[in-house]
Amino acid sequence: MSHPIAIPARSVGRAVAAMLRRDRWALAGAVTIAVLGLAAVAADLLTAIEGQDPYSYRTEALDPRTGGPAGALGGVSGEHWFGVEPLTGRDLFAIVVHGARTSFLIGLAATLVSVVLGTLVGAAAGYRGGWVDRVVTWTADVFLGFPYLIFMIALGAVVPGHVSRPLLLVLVIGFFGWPSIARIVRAQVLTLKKRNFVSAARILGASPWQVFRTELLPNLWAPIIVVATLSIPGNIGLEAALSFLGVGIPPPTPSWGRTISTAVDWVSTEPMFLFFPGIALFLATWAFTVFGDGLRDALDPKTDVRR
Amino acid sequence: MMSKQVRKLVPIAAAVALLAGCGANEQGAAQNAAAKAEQGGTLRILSEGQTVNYDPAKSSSLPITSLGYVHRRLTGWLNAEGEQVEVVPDLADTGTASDGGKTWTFTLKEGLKFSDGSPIRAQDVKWGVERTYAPAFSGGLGYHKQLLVGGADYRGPFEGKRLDSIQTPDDKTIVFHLTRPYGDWPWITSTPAFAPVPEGKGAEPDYGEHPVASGPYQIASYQRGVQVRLTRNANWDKGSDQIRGGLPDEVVFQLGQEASVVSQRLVADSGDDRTAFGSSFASPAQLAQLQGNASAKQRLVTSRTGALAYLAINTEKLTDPKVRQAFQYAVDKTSFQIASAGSAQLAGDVATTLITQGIAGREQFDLYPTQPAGDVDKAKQLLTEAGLPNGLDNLDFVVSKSNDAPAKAQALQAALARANIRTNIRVLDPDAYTAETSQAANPTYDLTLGSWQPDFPSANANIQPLFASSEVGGGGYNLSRYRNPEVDRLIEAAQSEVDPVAAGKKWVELDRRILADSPVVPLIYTRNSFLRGSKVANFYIADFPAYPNYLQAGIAK
Repeated sequence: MSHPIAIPARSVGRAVAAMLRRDRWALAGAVTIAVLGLAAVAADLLTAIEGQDPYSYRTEALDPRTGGPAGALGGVSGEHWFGVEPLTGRDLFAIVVHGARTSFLIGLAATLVSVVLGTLVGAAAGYRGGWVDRVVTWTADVFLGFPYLIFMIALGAVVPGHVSRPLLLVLVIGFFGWPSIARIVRAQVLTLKKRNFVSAARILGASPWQVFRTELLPNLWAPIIVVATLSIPGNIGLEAALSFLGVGIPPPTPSWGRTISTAVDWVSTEPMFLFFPGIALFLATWAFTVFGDGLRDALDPKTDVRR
Repeated sequence: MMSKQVRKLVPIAAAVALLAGCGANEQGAAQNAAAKAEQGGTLRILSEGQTVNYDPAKSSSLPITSLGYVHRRLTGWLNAEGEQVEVVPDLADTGTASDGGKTWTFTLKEGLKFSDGSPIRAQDVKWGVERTYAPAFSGGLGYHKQLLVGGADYRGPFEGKRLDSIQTPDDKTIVFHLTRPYGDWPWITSTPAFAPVPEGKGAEPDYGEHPVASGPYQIASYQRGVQVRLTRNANWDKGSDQIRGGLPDEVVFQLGQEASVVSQRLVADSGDDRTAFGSSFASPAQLAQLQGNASAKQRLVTSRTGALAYLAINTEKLTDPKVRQAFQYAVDKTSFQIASAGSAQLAGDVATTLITQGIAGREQFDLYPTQPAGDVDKAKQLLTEAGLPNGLDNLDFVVSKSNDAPAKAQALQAALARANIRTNIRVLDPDAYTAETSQAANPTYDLTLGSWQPDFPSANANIQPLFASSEVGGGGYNLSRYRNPEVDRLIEAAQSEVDPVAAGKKWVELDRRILADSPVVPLIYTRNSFLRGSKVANFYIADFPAYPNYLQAGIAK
């Protein structure tokens, strides 16, 4: 995990642009992220064009014999682009694009939480050293080995119902994400603080906070962006896993994980019901992973460019 | 009185009209008739639970299911397809009333023996009933507890006190003194509490794992979460027992089985699974998949009717009857049927009354006539009249995680939203759900889903447990927290009526009276579907209750 990533000479933006020109996989990832992100942002518009919404029951779109979708391929038609959900007739396209909104919001917000926490904690550990460093390192080790999925399931069961679930998910997933970011930031700060410009600032009487803001942070962006991008797919997957297990986003708000969980029971008769949310989740996690890999290659001169 | 979410139901006279719409069951019946159940073999029961409870004091088992293999009771049920269920003699006769229905006397049959060879005496039945009052052995059906004189503050025989309202003048006679006349008492004596426990025994908490048997089987081995094996009880006399076939040599419960895996195994129908059946309901997804599998479809047994599924409205939170009446029009019973089982035919008929199909004396009526899909305008109009032109917001709709309740709740949520009734579904684990809905003193929910099958086929068991104020909280199942002194008075009057016809009229009157207040919205009379292996024969669901009769099932050669 903790590649010591050197400070890029070029600006992050220009490095990314160059990387996308060079690395076709990363470009494919970026395009997929853009498409899914656009679908998430424009979910209401897209479903309005289709003439559906993810909440209304359309029992007329179901086979009256079984309650499964009427028609081939899970009821795919001009009216229902991805078909409908068995037993409810809710539009699967609307569920998938609104589910993208849920996944992206939770995945990105949780990553933001872990980045803020991890950067502050990691920088403090690296810069202050001593007992702060030891406590942070030990805690990070404990957190990395912590069975957090079980903890989250238990937490989901005991937190009272009036606490907003999306907020809870963001905080919990984000909270468990800080150690990997803190480790990288700490390693980076350890090398940075020996550099002359940091020593100079310190000697001139800058407070630790000033040193962090003006001297360290500008040189931490590259590794933070890389590790954050690489942790987004994990967070999206975690939200899906929790929703799959029934402790994530409560119904009826669409969530890929919950739809996949329902679809598993139907896989032998209605495989398309599993296919669409499954492929969406796959694409989202794949895209962020290859894009993050590309970023790391571009921003870390120590890694050999693969192609 | 927990775990009432899945209970039993009552169909009977009205079932004749239903026969036409019940293809699945007829096919099941035809198949059963073709293969004859024979003596011998091992019957396997695939169960989701980690345990099978064989402690009669803690049991809410029907007289025709698992507990009946090991324990006999004072009275039992005889049911067969197309016939009304009857209360019949089991250990004793069906009792004679005196003192206007306040005193009931039962005479035990001759020559009855426990599995250890000792005779079954009236004192053993008395001991069994007394044991149910011990706080350590609570949780079973408790209809008798308040009815027996002195029962209200009795704490069981292990503290040295006996219950004097149960008298045993000799080994064969047992007399019950009740606090008030009670016409349904012979049905009450068919509940698990009236199974004999040898006098002085059963003090240990795990008595249910090695009980002294009176039925055709005894427990040979008991492994929690793995299996329970029942073998023949040599001291059971088939001649004295008209309700148990006792056909298989062994009965094996395979425990802790995932429901979807059970379904797949039974559909595949290979090896030992041919002699097995599943004890939990087939889920909607499973039912849809079976429609394309002719062999499995034949082995699906569906009841003709079953529990009343209803939406309970917390009357302490939604106090205006007019607002509650709006819910009667806002729900969509069609989408609820589809969410329950995929089709109206497998889910069950739309319900409009509290008394379930097949109960003697039931009258079909509809106080809030509308389409099955509801009448949104009428609902909005009622809300406006009640001073809520913008509808209702943030209603807390609590459901249990089990039995597909979240999916059913979502169907109702979407339907209510059409009438501007916006709800938040809160899904709880089954135990937490029971704690919130039936045990909490001041629960916060506005709505919840209920399902109720009477414990015995009388309108009394439809209405009293759900609407008497004594059943609010404290483990009771009055989920609407409905308190109405007039209704309480009418319930007591109807219970005291010993003439069944007159009692029937009083219950119908109550059905209308309660629905006028709209504490619940009746949704459907739920049908239950079960899958069996191809060698399981005589596996049927009669009109009441909506569960297979375990005691008659056998293995075909």
